[in-house]
Amino acid sequence: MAFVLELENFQGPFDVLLELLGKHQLNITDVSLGEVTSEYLEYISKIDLAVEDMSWFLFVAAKLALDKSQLILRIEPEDDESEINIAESLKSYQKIKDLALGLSVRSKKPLYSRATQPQKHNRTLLVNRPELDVIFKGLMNYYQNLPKTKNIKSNKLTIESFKRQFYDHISNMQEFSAQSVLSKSSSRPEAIVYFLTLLELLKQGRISNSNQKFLLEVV
Amino acid sequence: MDHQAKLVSLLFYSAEPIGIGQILKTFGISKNELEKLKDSANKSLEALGLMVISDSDTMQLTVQSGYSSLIEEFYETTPQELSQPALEVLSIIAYKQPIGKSDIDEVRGVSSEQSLRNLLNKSLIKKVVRGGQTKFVTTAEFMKLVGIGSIAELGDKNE
Repeated sequence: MAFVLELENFQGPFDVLLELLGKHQLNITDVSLGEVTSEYLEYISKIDLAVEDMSWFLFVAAKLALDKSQLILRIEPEDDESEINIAESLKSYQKIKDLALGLSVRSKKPLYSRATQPQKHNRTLLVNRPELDVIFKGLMNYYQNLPKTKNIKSNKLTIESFKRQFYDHISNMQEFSAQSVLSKSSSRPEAIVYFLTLLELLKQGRISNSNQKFLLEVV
Repeated sequence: MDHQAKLVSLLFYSAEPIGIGQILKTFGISKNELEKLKDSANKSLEALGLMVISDSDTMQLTVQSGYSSLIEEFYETTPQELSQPALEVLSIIAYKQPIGKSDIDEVRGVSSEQSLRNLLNKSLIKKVVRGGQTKFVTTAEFMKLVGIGSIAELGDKNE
Protein backbone atom coordinates (compact mmCIF):
# COMPACT_ATOMS: atom_id res chain seq x y z
CA MET A 1 0.00 0.00 0.00
CA ALA A 2 1.46 3.35 -1.02
CA PHE A 3 1.61 5.87 1.76
CA VAL A 4 2.14 9.58 1.37
CA LEU A 5 3.45 11.29 4.45
CA GLU A 6 2.38 14.88 4.93
CA LEU A 7 3.61 16.52 8.09
CA GLU A 8 3.53 20.22 8.79
CA ASN A 9 5.38 20.20 12.05
CA PHE A 10 7.43 17.12 11.52
CA GLN A 11 10.33 16.92 13.94
CA GLY A 12 11.51 13.43 14.68
CA PRO A 13 10.86 9.70 14.38
CA PHE A 14 8.12 9.73 17.02
CA ASP A 15 6.23 12.34 15.01
CA VAL A 16 6.52 10.13 11.93
CA LEU A 17 5.29 7.06 13.80
CA LEU A 18 2.36 8.91 15.38
CA GLU A 19 1.41 10.25 11.96
CA LEU A 20 1.60 6.77 10.42
CA LEU A 21 -0.49 5.25 13.21
CA GLY A 22 -2.98 8.10 12.97
CA LYS A 23 -3.39 7.72 9.22
CA HIS A 24 -4.15 4.04 9.65
CA GLN A 25 -6.30 4.71 12.71
CA LEU A 26 -4.18 2.41 14.84
CA ASN A 27 -3.59 2.60 18.57
CA ILE A 28 -0.12 2.78 20.04
CA THR A 29 0.70 -0.89 20.55
CA ASP A 30 3.63 -3.15 19.63
CA VAL A 31 1.42 -4.92 17.08
CA SER A 32 0.33 -1.64 15.43
CA LEU A 33 3.93 -0.50 15.25
CA GLY A 34 4.79 -3.78 13.50
CA GLU A 35 2.23 -2.89 10.85
CA VAL A 36 3.76 0.49 10.07
CA THR A 37 7.43 -0.52 10.34
CA SER A 38 7.86 -1.07 6.58
CA GLU A 39 6.40 2.33 5.80
CA TYR A 40 8.60 3.96 8.39
CA LEU A 41 11.70 2.30 6.89
CA GLU A 42 10.62 3.36 3.41
CA TYR A 43 10.15 6.91 4.64
CA ILE A 44 13.57 7.25 6.25
CA SER A 45 15.26 5.81 3.16
CA LYS A 46 14.02 8.88 1.27
CA ILE A 47 14.70 11.70 3.72
CA ASP A 48 17.85 13.75 3.88
CA LEU A 49 18.78 14.69 7.43
CA ALA A 50 21.74 15.86 9.47
CA VAL A 51 23.77 13.04 10.99
CA GLU A 52 22.61 13.78 14.51
CA ASP A 53 18.93 13.66 13.58
CA MET A 54 19.40 10.65 11.31
CA SER A 55 20.87 8.68 14.22
CA TRP A 56 17.55 9.00 16.07
CA PHE A 57 15.63 7.75 13.02
CA LEU A 58 17.99 4.84 12.54
CA PHE A 59 17.88 3.89 16.20
CA VAL A 60 14.08 3.77 16.13
CA ALA A 61 14.18 1.90 12.81
CA ALA A 62 16.50 -0.73 14.23
CA LYS A 63 14.33 -1.12 17.32
CA LEU A 64 11.14 -1.38 15.25
CA ALA A 65 12.72 -4.00 12.97
CA LEU A 66 13.86 -6.01 15.97
CA ASP A 67 10.47 -5.80 17.66
CA LYS A 68 8.71 -6.82 14.45
CA SER A 69 10.99 -9.80 13.88
CA GLN A 70 10.43 -10.95 17.47
CA LEU A 71 6.71 -10.55 16.94
CA ILE A 72 6.72 -12.63 13.75
CA LEU A 73 8.98 -15.32 15.21
CA ARG A 74 7.06 -15.20 18.47
CA ILE A 75 10.20 -14.67 20.47
CA GLU A 76 9.70 -13.18 23.89
CA PRO A 77 11.71 -9.96 24.15
CA GLU A 78 14.48 -9.98 26.74
CA ASP A 79 13.49 -8.31 29.96
CA ASP A 80 16.01 -5.47 29.87
CA GLU A 81 14.91 -2.38 31.79
CA SER A 82 17.44 -0.18 30.05
CA GLU A 83 16.01 -1.03 26.64
CA ILE A 84 13.60 1.48 25.17
CA ASN A 85 10.10 0.29 24.45
CA ILE A 86 8.96 2.24 21.40
CA ALA A 87 5.25 1.90 22.19
CA GLU A 88 5.79 3.25 25.72
CA SER A 89 8.01 6.04 24.41
CA LEU A 90 5.35 6.97 21.88
CA LYS A 91 2.69 7.09 24.58
CA SER A 92 4.90 9.38 26.67
CA TYR A 93 5.57 11.54 23.65
CA GLN A 94 1.87 11.73 22.84
CA LYS A 95 1.28 12.91 26.40
CA ILE A 96 3.91 15.62 25.96
CA LYS A 97 2.23 16.75 22.75
CA ASP A 98 -1.06 17.01 24.65
CA LEU A 99 0.64 19.01 27.42
CA ALA A 100 2.25 21.25 24.80
CA LEU A 101 -1.19 21.89 23.36
CA GLY A 102 -2.37 22.83 26.86
CA LEU A 103 0.51 25.30 27.22
CA SER A 104 -0.28 26.72 23.81
CA VAL A 105 -3.89 27.37 24.91
CA ARG A 106 -2.70 28.89 28.19
CA SER A 107 -0.27 31.17 26.35
CA LYS A 108 -3.22 32.94 24.72
CA LYS A 109 -3.84 34.56 28.12
CA PRO A 110 -0.43 35.53 29.42
CA LEU A 111 0.43 37.67 32.42
CA TYR A 112 1.90 41.03 31.49
CA SER A 113 4.32 42.98 33.63
CA ARG A 114 5.60 46.52 33.31
CA ALA A 115 7.20 47.00 29.94
CA THR A 116 10.21 49.06 30.88
CA GLN A 117 12.75 49.12 33.63
CA PRO A 118 12.70 52.35 35.64
CA GLN A 119 15.80 54.49 35.16
CA LYS A 120 18.42 54.24 37.85
CA HIS A 121 20.20 57.28 39.21
CA ASN A 122 20.54 59.14 35.90
CA ARG A 123 20.69 62.87 36.41
CA THR A 124 18.78 64.55 33.62
CA LEU A 125 19.15 67.93 32.02
CA LEU A 126 16.69 69.50 29.65
CA VAL A 127 17.31 71.34 26.41
CA ASN A 128 14.58 72.81 24.24
CA ARG A 129 14.76 71.53 20.70
CA PRO A 130 14.16 74.91 19.01
CA GLU A 131 16.93 76.26 21.20
CA LEU A 132 19.45 74.18 19.27
CA ASP A 133 18.54 75.89 15.99
CA VAL A 134 18.80 79.32 17.59
CA ILE A 135 22.14 78.47 19.14
CA PHE A 136 23.57 77.17 15.91
CA LYS A 137 22.49 80.22 13.93
CA GLY A 138 23.65 82.56 16.72
CA LEU A 139 27.04 80.91 16.86
CA MET A 140 27.53 81.09 13.16
CA ASN A 141 26.70 84.80 13.19
CA TYR A 142 28.91 85.44 16.18
CA TYR A 143 31.97 83.76 14.72
CA GLN A 144 31.42 85.10 11.23
CA ASN A 145 31.65 88.61 12.68
CA LEU A 146 34.91 87.88 14.45
CA PRO A 147 38.04 89.14 12.74
CA LYS A 148 39.75 86.36 10.87
CA THR A 149 43.23 85.72 12.21
CA LYS A 150 46.10 84.95 9.98
CA ASN A 151 48.06 83.14 12.66
CA ILE A 152 47.31 79.52 13.05
CA LYS A 153 47.92 78.17 16.51
CA SER A 154 50.17 75.16 16.60
CA ASN A 155 48.55 73.44 19.56
CA LYS A 156 46.59 70.37 18.56
CA LEU A 157 42.87 70.32 19.24
CA THR A 158 41.62 66.83 19.83
CA ILE A 159 37.93 66.13 19.75
CA GLU A 160 38.26 63.83 22.76
CA SER A 161 39.77 66.54 24.96
CA PHE A 162 36.99 68.95 24.01
CA LYS A 163 34.40 66.28 24.62
CA ARG A 164 35.78 65.74 28.10
CA GLN A 165 35.64 69.47 28.77
CA PHE A 166 32.08 69.54 27.49
CA TYR A 167 30.97 66.62 29.66
CA ASP A 168 32.76 68.07 32.71
CA HIS A 169 31.08 71.38 32.16
CA ILE A 170 27.51 70.15 31.78
CA SER A 171 27.95 67.54 34.53
CA ASN A 172 28.44 70.32 37.05
CA MET A 173 25.37 72.24 35.98
CA GLN A 174 21.98 71.99 37.60
CA GLU A 175 20.26 73.38 34.52
CA PHE A 176 21.51 72.90 31.06
CA SER A 177 21.48 75.70 28.55
CA ALA A 178 23.08 74.81 25.25
CA GLN A 179 23.63 78.52 24.55
CA SER A 180 25.58 78.96 27.77
CA VAL A 181 27.70 75.89 27.10
CA LEU A 182 28.54 76.87 23.56
CA SER A 183 29.29 80.47 24.47
CA LYS A 184 32.07 79.14 26.72
CA SER A 185 34.03 78.21 23.66
CA SER A 186 36.87 80.60 23.03
CA SER A 187 37.40 79.87 19.40
CA ARG A 188 35.54 78.74 16.33
CA PRO A 189 37.06 75.21 16.37
CA GLU A 190 36.00 74.82 20.02
CA ALA A 191 32.48 75.96 19.26
CA ILE A 192 32.28 73.55 16.35
CA VAL A 193 33.50 70.65 18.48
CA TYR A 194 31.04 71.52 21.25
CA PHE A 195 28.25 71.62 18.75
CA LEU A 196 29.36 68.37 17.11
CA THR A 197 29.55 66.76 20.55
CA LEU A 198 26.01 67.87 21.19
CA LEU A 199 24.93 66.36 17.88
CA GLU A 200 26.80 63.17 18.74
CA LEU A 201 24.89 62.92 22.00
CA LEU A 202 21.71 63.19 19.95
CA LYS A 203 22.88 60.47 17.58
CA GLN A 204 23.89 58.16 20.44
CA GLY A 205 20.48 58.58 21.97
CA ARG A 206 21.88 60.19 25.10
CA ILE A 207 19.72 63.13 24.19
CA SER A 208 16.23 62.02 23.32
CA ASN A 209 13.15 63.88 22.25
CA SER A 210 10.67 63.70 25.08
CA ASN A 211 7.60 65.90 25.42
CA GLN A 212 8.91 68.49 22.98
CA LYS A 213 12.15 68.64 24.92
CA PHE A 214 15.52 67.04 24.64
CA LEU A 215 16.48 64.92 27.56
CA LEU A 216 20.18 64.83 28.14
CA GLU A 217 21.40 62.03 30.38
CA VAL A 218 24.67 62.67 32.07
CA VAL A 219 26.09 59.30 33.00
CA MET B 1 5.26 49.90 57.53
CA ASP B 2 4.06 46.33 57.04
CA HIS B 3 5.93 43.76 54.99
CA GLN B 4 3.08 43.33 52.50
CA ALA B 5 3.15 47.00 51.47
CA LYS B 6 6.94 46.95 51.36
CA LEU B 7 6.96 43.86 49.16
CA VAL B 8 4.43 45.28 46.71
CA SER B 9 6.34 48.59 46.60
CA LEU B 10 9.60 46.88 45.72
CA LEU B 11 7.94 44.69 43.10
CA PHE B 12 6.06 47.62 41.62
CA TYR B 13 9.22 49.63 41.12
CA SER B 14 10.97 46.98 39.05
CA ALA B 15 9.91 45.86 35.60
CA GLU B 16 12.16 42.81 36.01
CA PRO B 17 11.79 39.92 38.47
CA ILE B 18 13.49 40.52 41.85
CA GLY B 19 15.73 37.92 43.45
CA ILE B 20 13.97 36.13 46.31
CA GLY B 21 17.24 35.92 48.25
CA GLN B 22 17.51 39.69 48.20
CA ILE B 23 13.93 40.08 49.49
CA LEU B 24 14.49 37.57 52.30
CA LYS B 25 17.67 39.37 53.33
CA THR B 26 16.02 42.80 53.25
CA PHE B 27 12.95 41.73 55.24
CA GLY B 28 14.76 39.26 57.51
CA ILE B 29 12.10 36.58 56.96
CA SER B 30 12.09 32.92 55.91
CA LYS B 31 11.08 31.56 52.51
CA ASN B 32 7.84 30.17 54.00
CA GLU B 33 7.00 33.55 55.50
CA LEU B 34 7.62 35.16 52.11
CA GLU B 35 5.30 32.63 50.49
CA LYS B 36 2.56 33.57 52.99
CA LEU B 37 3.29 37.24 52.35
CA LYS B 38 2.89 36.63 48.62
CA ASP B 39 -0.48 34.92 49.20
CA SER B 40 -1.79 37.77 51.35
CA ALA B 41 -0.47 40.34 48.87
CA ASN B 42 -2.27 38.53 46.07
CA LYS B 43 -5.54 38.65 48.02
CA SER B 44 -5.14 42.42 48.42
CA LEU B 45 -4.16 42.87 44.77
CA GLU B 46 -6.98 40.75 43.37
CA ALA B 47 -9.41 43.65 43.10
CA LEU B 48 -6.77 45.75 41.37
CA GLY B 49 -6.18 43.27 38.53
CA LEU B 50 -2.63 42.60 39.68
CA MET B 51 -0.85 39.57 41.06
CA VAL B 52 2.53 38.52 42.41
CA ILE B 53 4.15 35.52 40.75
CA SER B 54 7.27 33.63 41.75
CA ASP B 55 9.54 30.86 40.57
CA SER B 56 12.23 29.19 42.68
CA ASP B 57 14.51 32.24 42.64
CA THR B 58 12.56 35.33 41.67
CA MET B 59 9.35 37.25 42.29
CA GLN B 60 7.50 39.72 40.07
CA LEU B 61 4.38 41.87 39.98
CA THR B 62 2.18 41.25 36.93
CA VAL B 63 -1.25 42.02 35.56
CA GLN B 64 -3.77 39.19 35.99
CA SER B 65 -4.36 37.04 32.90
CA GLY B 66 -7.98 38.20 32.74
CA TYR B 67 -6.73 41.60 31.59
CA SER B 68 -4.29 40.33 28.94
CA SER B 69 -6.67 40.94 26.03
CA LEU B 70 -7.30 44.50 27.27
CA ILE B 71 -3.57 45.19 27.31
CA GLU B 72 -3.09 43.61 23.89
CA GLU B 73 -5.89 45.72 22.44
CA PHE B 74 -4.84 48.96 24.10
CA TYR B 75 -1.12 48.66 23.39
CA GLU B 76 -1.59 46.86 20.05
CA THR B 77 0.53 43.93 21.10
CA THR B 78 0.13 40.18 20.66
CA PRO B 79 1.00 37.27 22.91
CA GLN B 80 4.27 35.50 22.25
CA GLU B 81 3.89 32.44 20.02
CA LEU B 82 6.14 29.41 20.15
CA SER B 83 6.78 26.67 17.61
CA GLN B 84 5.47 23.16 18.24
CA PRO B 85 8.96 21.76 19.04
CA ALA B 86 9.60 24.64 21.48
CA LEU B 87 6.25 24.01 23.19
CA GLU B 88 7.08 20.31 23.52
CA VAL B 89 10.47 21.03 25.07
CA LEU B 90 8.89 23.61 27.38
CA SER B 91 6.23 21.09 28.45
CA ILE B 92 8.84 18.46 29.27
CA ILE B 93 10.86 20.94 31.33
CA ALA B 94 7.77 22.39 33.05
CA TYR B 95 6.49 19.01 34.19
CA LYS B 96 9.78 17.23 34.82
CA GLN B 97 12.11 19.99 36.02
CA PRO B 98 14.96 19.99 36.68
CA ILE B 99 15.76 17.87 33.62
CA GLY B 100 18.87 17.43 31.46
CA LYS B 101 19.12 17.68 27.68
CA SER B 102 19.65 13.95 27.11
CA ASP B 103 16.42 13.13 28.98
CA ILE B 104 14.52 15.74 26.96
CA ASP B 105 15.93 14.30 23.74
CA GLU B 106 14.92 10.80 24.81
CA VAL B 107 11.32 11.82 25.46
CA ARG B 108 11.06 13.55 22.07
CA GLY B 109 13.16 11.03 20.14
CA VAL B 110 15.12 13.84 18.56
CA SER B 111 17.74 16.43 19.45
CA SER B 112 16.28 19.49 21.19
CA GLU B 113 19.40 21.62 20.88
CA GLN B 114 17.84 24.35 18.75
CA SER B 115 14.64 24.58 20.79
CA LEU B 116 16.61 24.79 24.04
CA ARG B 117 18.72 27.59 22.62
CA ASN B 118 15.62 29.51 21.54
CA LEU B 119 13.93 29.05 24.90
CA LEU B 120 17.08 30.19 26.73
CA ASN B 121 17.25 33.27 24.48
CA LYS B 122 13.66 34.08 25.33
CA SER B 123 14.44 33.60 29.07
CA LEU B 124 11.63 31.04 29.33
CA ILE B 125 14.04 28.47 30.77
CA LYS B 126 17.37 28.68 32.56
CA LYS B 127 20.26 26.38 33.33
CA VAL B 128 20.91 25.10 36.83
CA VAL B 129 23.53 22.70 38.13
CA ARG B 130 22.20 19.75 40.09
CA GLY B 131 24.52 17.00 41.25
CA GLY B 132 27.26 18.36 39.02
CA GLN B 133 25.07 18.15 35.92
CA THR B 134 23.52 20.92 33.85
CA LYS B 135 19.74 20.81 33.93
CA PHE B 136 16.95 23.07 32.79
CA VAL B 137 14.15 24.68 34.79
CA THR B 138 11.40 27.11 33.84
CA THR B 139 11.51 30.79 34.80
CA ALA B 140 9.13 33.55 35.90
CA GLU B 141 9.01 34.55 32.22
CA PHE B 142 7.57 31.10 31.45
CA MET B 143 4.91 31.56 34.14
CA LYS B 144 3.96 34.89 32.60
CA LEU B 145 3.77 33.25 29.16
CA VAL B 146 1.30 30.60 30.30
CA GLY B 147 -0.54 32.84 32.75
CA ILE B 148 0.19 31.08 36.03
CA GLY B 149 1.25 32.40 39.43
CA SER B 150 3.20 29.30 40.43
CA ILE B 151 4.31 26.04 38.81
CA ALA B 152 1.85 24.14 41.02
CA GLU B 153 -0.99 25.70 38.99
CA LEU B 154 0.03 23.61 35.98
CA GLY B 155 -1.32 20.58 37.84
CA ASP B 156 -0.21 16.98 37.56
CA LYS B 157 1.09 15.90 34.17
CA ASN B 158 -1.09 12.81 34.39
CA GLU B 159 -4.31 14.70 34.90
